[in-house]
Amino acid sequence: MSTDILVNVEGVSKKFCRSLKRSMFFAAQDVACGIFRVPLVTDRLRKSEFWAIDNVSFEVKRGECLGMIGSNGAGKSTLLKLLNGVIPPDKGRITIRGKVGALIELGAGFHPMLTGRENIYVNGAILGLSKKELDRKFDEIVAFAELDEFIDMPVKFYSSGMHLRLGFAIAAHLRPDILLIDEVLAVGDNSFRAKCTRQIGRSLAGGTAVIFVSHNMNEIVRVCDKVIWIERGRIVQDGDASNAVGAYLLANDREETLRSETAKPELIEGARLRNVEICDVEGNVRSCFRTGESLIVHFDYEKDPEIKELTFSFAMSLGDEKNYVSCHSPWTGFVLRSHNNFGRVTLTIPQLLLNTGLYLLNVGIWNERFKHAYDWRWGFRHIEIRNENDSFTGRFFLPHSWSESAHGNGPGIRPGPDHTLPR
Amino acid sequence: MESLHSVHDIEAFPSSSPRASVEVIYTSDSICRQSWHVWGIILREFLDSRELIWRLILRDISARYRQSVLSYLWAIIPSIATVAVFVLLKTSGTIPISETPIPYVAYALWGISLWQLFTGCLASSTGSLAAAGSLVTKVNFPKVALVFASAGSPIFDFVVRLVPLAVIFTSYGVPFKWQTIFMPFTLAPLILLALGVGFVMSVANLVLRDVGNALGIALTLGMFITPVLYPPPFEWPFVLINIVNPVSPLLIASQDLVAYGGLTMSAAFISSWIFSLLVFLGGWRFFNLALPRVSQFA
Repeated sequence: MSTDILVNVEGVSKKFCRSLKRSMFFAAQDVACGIFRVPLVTDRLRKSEFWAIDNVSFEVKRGECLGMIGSNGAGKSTLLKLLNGVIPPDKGRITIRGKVGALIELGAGFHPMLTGRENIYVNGAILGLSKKELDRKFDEIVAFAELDEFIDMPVKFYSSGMHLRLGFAIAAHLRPDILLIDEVLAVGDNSFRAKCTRQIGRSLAGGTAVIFVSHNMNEIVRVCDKVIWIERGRIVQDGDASNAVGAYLLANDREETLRSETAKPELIEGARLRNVEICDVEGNVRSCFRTGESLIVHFDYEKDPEIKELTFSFAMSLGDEKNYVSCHSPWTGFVLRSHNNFGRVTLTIPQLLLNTGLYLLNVGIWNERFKHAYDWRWGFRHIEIRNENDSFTGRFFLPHSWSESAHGNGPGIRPGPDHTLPR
Repeated sequence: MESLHSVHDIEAFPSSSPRASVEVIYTSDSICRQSWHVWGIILREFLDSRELIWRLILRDISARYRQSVLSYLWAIIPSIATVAVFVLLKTSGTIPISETPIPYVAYALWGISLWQLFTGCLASSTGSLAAAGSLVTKVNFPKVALVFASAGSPIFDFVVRLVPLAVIFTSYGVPFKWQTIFMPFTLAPLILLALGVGFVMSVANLVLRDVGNALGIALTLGMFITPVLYPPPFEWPFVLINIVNPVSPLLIASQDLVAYGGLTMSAAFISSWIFSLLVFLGGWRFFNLALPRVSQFA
């Protein structure tokens, strides 16, 4: 095995117990086995136990950033605890080469009665820094945490942001070979997050291996080289960051989309939708489209003869219940005026300029002024849209082009203040 | 705005690559497997965490009385109150206490100071892991430092109590014996015994919080079956108190040293010394073995 591999996880499993009482009994049993040198049977489940981590393997090299994604309770934090050596695995083996720094529980050892200054020394000592190192780095830590005037205030008067900043600043000065990060950045404000991300980038450049847990997919894609997606303690997918994140987003969309339920408008009698057909331009019924393809929607309606006017609506939304696309027929001047009891109305969207995602379709038929709905179906069907270019980070795919300009600002021309971009 | 802060950033974040050769392997039985040379690892861990222990001691002592007016007087008040009650009970004849080698006030105050050194170490080491909370479950550092550091405050309080003791001893005219300089030798087993039991109790307390509560009751009872506030009895069956209770010989030795400048029960004292050392080492080993299996309860 190459020495460039700093973290090597081979077939690691960890079990937990659902019942507190029983888990105390099992703990006592495990300890007793340890004392009397009875080999522990760790690879079988006892009553009410389950695998919190199940046969997970991966490796992280020097200067590489591994992202860990998955829904809440998937086992990401447990895996970090195993890597950090806080709890031992029940099966498999973890090899760690070098000093581990963890941005997991920032400021865990802070004593509320002590000042920030005193806590820097205590927390630093817990994380393994000597007094000499701390003396040297003290000013840097205070500056990084932006706490200059508050450093002699008791930590219990600190805001949660100040607490976090101080914790991060101390941990960031550890200079570890392996850095574990568990969603700690979620609490800080934007400028602090940006600063932390830059810090992580620097440590990567310096040869640190980083393992990064986050629910912010943009952050994951920006920072990580590869991603493992964990669900119920198992790796669902690993490999290239953008592929894994794309797959995760698609699966998440599917779950949330199918769960979502929105307040219905009040319905009145008089007309209803008999069928809605989703087709491509050739008339084939489909549920999966590529970005840029055309979408044809046929509305089959029936109505009472005395109803003279009908309008139609079509919208596409995601699990967040926001409509990303809406097409209301009066907007393009279409109001159905017909004496027939039934008929078909067709909507044509020439180009689906949407990125990868699972979209929920919402349709309705309304009276002329959109006050009352005759029929309204939220999420009656869903379609999957795929963009082969992996550009899943935005929702929309706007037509665009890139080119090189013949005359740019030469080096002698100072750009005006309006043109300077913030760094 | 962000660019304003960038001057504060750390210049570089290079990893300490020479240390990358340190390789740690975690498996299900990593700590159980090693036999005798595990003591090498345990001692190395202790030596590496000396500075941390010292930091934690300073933290506990300086934070302890910060939000109080009487501050360090709290180290003295409980023992003085207890002694006052017993002096009252003795002089009124409610409780007959046999003659003590030095004036009773001095004897009782010294006894209770020793006893509180022992119980203080035991109680704070028992609670040390539970008090650290998420530090135990989430941060990887030598947890044994928490237990060692927990002895800091009780020892500091003991030193503070030496001040009123000196005052009482002088005012009652108790002669100073030069042999008192051997005191550390009689105090050490007391602390070792407390820590040894504390190692086991701290882990037990992490799993079952009953342990901490039960300990309080046990220690209150313990004070009466240890010659703290009365001289060691010599009639059967009460003499058993001096022998069966492993704390008694250690306590009696410290009291003898002050009163006579020598030991009256040297055999019991030496065996208690060895017993304390064994409990201390056994507890320490148990702690290393058991903590990784139960740390999730913190």
